[in-house]
Amino acid sequence: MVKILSEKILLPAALFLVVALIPLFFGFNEYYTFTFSIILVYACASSAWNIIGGMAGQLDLAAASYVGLGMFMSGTLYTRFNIPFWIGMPLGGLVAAGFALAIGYPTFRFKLREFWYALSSIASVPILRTLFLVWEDVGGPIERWLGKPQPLLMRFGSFLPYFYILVAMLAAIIYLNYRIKNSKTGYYLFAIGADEEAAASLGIDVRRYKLKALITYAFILGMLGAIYVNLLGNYHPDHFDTFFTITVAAIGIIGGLGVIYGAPIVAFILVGLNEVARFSVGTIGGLPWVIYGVIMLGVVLFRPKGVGQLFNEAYVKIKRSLRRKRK
Amino acid sequence: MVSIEMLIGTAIVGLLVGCIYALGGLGLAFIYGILDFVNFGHGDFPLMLSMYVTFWFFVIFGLDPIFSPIAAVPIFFLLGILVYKTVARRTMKGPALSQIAATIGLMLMVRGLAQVVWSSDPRSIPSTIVRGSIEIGGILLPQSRLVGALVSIGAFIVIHYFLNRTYTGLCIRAITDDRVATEILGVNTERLYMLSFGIGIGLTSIAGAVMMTYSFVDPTIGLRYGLLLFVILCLAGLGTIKGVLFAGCILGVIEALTTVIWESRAAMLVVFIIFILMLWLRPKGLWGRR
Repeated sequence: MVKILSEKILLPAALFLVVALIPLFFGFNEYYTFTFSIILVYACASSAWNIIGGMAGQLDLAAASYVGLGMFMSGTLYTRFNIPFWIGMPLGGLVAAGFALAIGYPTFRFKLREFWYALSSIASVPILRTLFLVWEDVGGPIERWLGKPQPLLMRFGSFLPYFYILVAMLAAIIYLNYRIKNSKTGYYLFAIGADEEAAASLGIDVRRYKLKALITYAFILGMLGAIYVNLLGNYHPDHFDTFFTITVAAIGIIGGLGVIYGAPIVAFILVGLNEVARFSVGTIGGLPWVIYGVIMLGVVLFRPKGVGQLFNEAYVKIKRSLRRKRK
Repeated sequence: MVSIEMLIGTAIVGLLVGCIYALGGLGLAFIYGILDFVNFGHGDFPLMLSMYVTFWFFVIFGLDPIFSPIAAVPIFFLLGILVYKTVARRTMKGPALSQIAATIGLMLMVRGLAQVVWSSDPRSIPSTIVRGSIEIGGILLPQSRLVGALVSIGAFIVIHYFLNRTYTGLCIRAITDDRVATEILGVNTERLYMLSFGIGIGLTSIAGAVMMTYSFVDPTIGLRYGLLLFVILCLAGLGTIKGVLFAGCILGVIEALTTVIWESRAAMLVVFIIFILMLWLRPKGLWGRR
């Protein structure tokens, strides 16, 4: 019992404590808090992507659609009607999930698979972007600012509260990942990811479970959008950004499909690197993309199970050597 | 109010632009149809890169973009073979997800390199031989599009004859039907795959060079044109050359007419909505065999 506690709960708890103490290490500097919050946004999005992309094997590239819908929903509610974010957040999630259902149901119904699914999902991003650009009551070409802080409406003057909301959210997403992975749904999803036809022939309702995974993922990303809009302080149709979606999927793939801790760790390394590259070699804007691309190619060609698998192996090795020492 | 002459003129210019798009789509269809390999970053790796290479040819050697395919195609053919050897051959038989992931990696790399080398400012070529326009029956036709469309139709005819009249073309058609049987008959399928990949990349690079006569290029353009190429592929379906040309023309006309009638921002919207509806309702395309 004690052993289970120490392995299954203590290690994640220690990790989260370290993450939660990050602002303290940097003396509550707002810039660092903001940077780490952005990293956490990517970590959350990629961990959520793991449900549909990693487990169910559907390469979904619509992350920016869901995040953007969440941003527009909660941002519009706040700027127009002064509705606080703790109401706007789940509503943003619901809108994103509804959109995912509206797009996902026919997509799975008409049996779009593999890269046609990836294409149809990535096409939804420019579609939404143009729609919001043309729909000037809500979007339009001018960015809309959220205005000055109103702590009662969950609009704080500092990035710190959002940072902690994101930490809590990442913990919740990882817990959810863990629960799904070790449940019937998780086994079904892995079966679908391995071979859809074989899974269907064994009596799994493929369409329903794929849709379930997609909606869970979209709901989380919609909620994430509500936090993201607070971090940035504005929303604009350009936030339906195709390269956001590709980054999320890239982190998920580099982290390893179906590996729970892969995506967050890779997000910390890569997005952090991106930020370091931005202020050290600021003029060379494309460098992070080159790094992403090279790492991604390397991972796919030489280590198809992802970097997460490496971490797992290292963890197991360390544990073994520790045990040996004890003996 | 838009006059009828203007609509007809726009539609014809759209048709010409569509022919150029179709040439880009032909490269993609070639690779997908023959190798069953999806180059997700087709808008970046051959297309955007060839636009930048054309730009470089102009800046360094003063080569006119309409002649730059002569120099660009061999380069891209070799680059294609390099990519085939390193990326495509390893992931071709693997799951679709690893193909997509590998080509997205390639796409990110090319996009980043473009931004490093050429910065993110839009680049265009100030002057070419094919400037100005010709008036035919009261309709103004820009020369650059006209010449581009002629080049692309020429390439279509060459590819048609290559596939139908030469021995190598016959072998390529045979491996799309049954790879193992072709191999048993003593055909070196590996070399044919390499050749087709190179040709596919080369064809799209011609389209990129031609586009440079009238368009600008920046690092984000790859994704936009890339999606457009996939729309053409989806509209045309697999295993047709004629279909790719028609699909490109249809898209060009739709794009041009939407810009005039509704709004320029909405042109892509209509194209993508058609794309999604096509995927849902007729996934084998309008002219496709399977």
